[in-house]
Amino acid sequence: MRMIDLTMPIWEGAGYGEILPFTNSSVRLSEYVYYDKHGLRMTRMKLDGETGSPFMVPHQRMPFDPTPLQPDPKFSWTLDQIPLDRLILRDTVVLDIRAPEQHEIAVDEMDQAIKSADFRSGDEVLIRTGWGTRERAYELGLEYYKRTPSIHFDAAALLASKMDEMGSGIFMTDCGLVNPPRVQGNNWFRGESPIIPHPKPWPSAEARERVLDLGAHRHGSPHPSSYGALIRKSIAGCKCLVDCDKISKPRVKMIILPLLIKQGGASPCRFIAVEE
Amino acid sequence: MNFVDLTMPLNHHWMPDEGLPTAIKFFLGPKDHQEKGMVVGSDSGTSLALPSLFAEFRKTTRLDQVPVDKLFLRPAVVAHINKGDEKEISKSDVEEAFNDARPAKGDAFMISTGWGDKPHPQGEGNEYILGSPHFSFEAARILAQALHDNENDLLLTDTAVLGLPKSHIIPEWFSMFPAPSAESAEAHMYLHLYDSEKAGKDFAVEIEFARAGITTVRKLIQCGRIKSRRIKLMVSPLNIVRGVASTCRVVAVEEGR
Repeated sequence: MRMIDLTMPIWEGAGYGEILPFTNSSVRLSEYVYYDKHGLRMTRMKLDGETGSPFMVPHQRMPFDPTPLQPDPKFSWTLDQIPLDRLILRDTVVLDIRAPEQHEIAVDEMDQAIKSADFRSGDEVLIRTGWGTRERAYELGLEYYKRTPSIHFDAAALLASKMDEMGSGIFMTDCGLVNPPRVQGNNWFRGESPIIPHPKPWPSAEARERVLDLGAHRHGSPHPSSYGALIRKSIAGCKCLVDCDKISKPRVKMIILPLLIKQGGASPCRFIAVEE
Repeated sequence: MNFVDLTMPLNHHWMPDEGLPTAIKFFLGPKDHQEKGMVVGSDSGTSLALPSLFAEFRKTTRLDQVPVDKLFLRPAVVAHINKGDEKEISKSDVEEAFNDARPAKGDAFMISTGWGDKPHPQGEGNEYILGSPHFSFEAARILAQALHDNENDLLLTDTAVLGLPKSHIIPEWFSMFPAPSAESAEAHMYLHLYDSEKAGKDFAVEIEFARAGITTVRKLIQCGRIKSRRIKLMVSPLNIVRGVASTCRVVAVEEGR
């Protein structure tokens, strides 16, 4: 048995917490008990539900707002309601779609990957582009998310349909963003009028102004959400996994452990692939 | 295969472990809140501490360096120490528990006292911490040595604390009335005046385990639901770069059940 950690690490200033206006806010790690003064260390951690490699359920805004991201989701569990046998040692098919930076996975690529894979009933799904690595995330910072491969809406819709048919529950990918950056970062870091220099995320003045402009916390792109297509058919959507090329087999068992947040909707999560 | 979740839920309404001046209040912020997301302490809820928590051992492994097989599907043995109303775990208690449990070389060692099976999350006040079973220094010394000698470098327990910080924190902090809350001005001032000499006494038990190279996990719940002597554990802390402690998810796997 071989285990591979596919979890994006957490550190102060990580790019995933700096790139978007709302959905993922900055990581702040503050020491308040110190080695030099107290002889030990303790840390106050300001995180986000989307910090690191996140695990996000359809009712992502819980416990404060029960409205799902998309209407009529197939699953409605919050983090503390998901049975452990839906998280641990889950049979998972690896869908290989090699993607260079900034590539939007197209519907024919998704179709080919699905047809080529040994996709069995009840499998969870890992979309592997090979692009997402720990070293690249450390090196590129914000650029990691500007350059990440992503999934075009049509490809996401096809995969969502297939997941529904196969009884899959969890969608995972090593893309930094599921939605194309042009959609997710519309008129923030991409689009016709990106903001330069790049502003801080919520609660920055620029993020607050964006709510005034758009009337809500949304990306404001006219294009549909790839993530939205997938989350309607999923227990959870999971992005920003790393080092998936260390998996040597087309099928693995996944251990997926988000924090146990009572009535929570999203959490940083550990992702461990188990090869038998 | 049977899974048992041993994790204390992170509850934004109430956590039973926030009474000490060293605690951080678990907080969830909705999307319009200045602190959107969550605030969590490195020892909020069920939590893991590496030996590098302490300055003396800061050159040892950090969270993002822990080999995955030390934490996931880790073979473990369950020992029972039921103290009833007497709270201090003695040298003879740990010797008996270790001998009865018969850990194999390299096992994780879990101690179930029954404290984590009580309904603390619904309780009020600081009873969860102040009333918790805890190791005497001598018990910690003996157990740490036995675990070290048998390569059992992961100790888990359902107690709120390993050692009770009764040299300074308990008499000083809990003598204030009404009791101040975590992250209050009083807590900041207390920590400002707290130093390594005081911490060395209050955390002597924890330091003894760290000295033996043992990673510890405490504040487990529902250990009483485990029926097997041998299990596998999944211990899932946050993957924090250069981190030394973290809230974590812990799940027991009972095979053949």
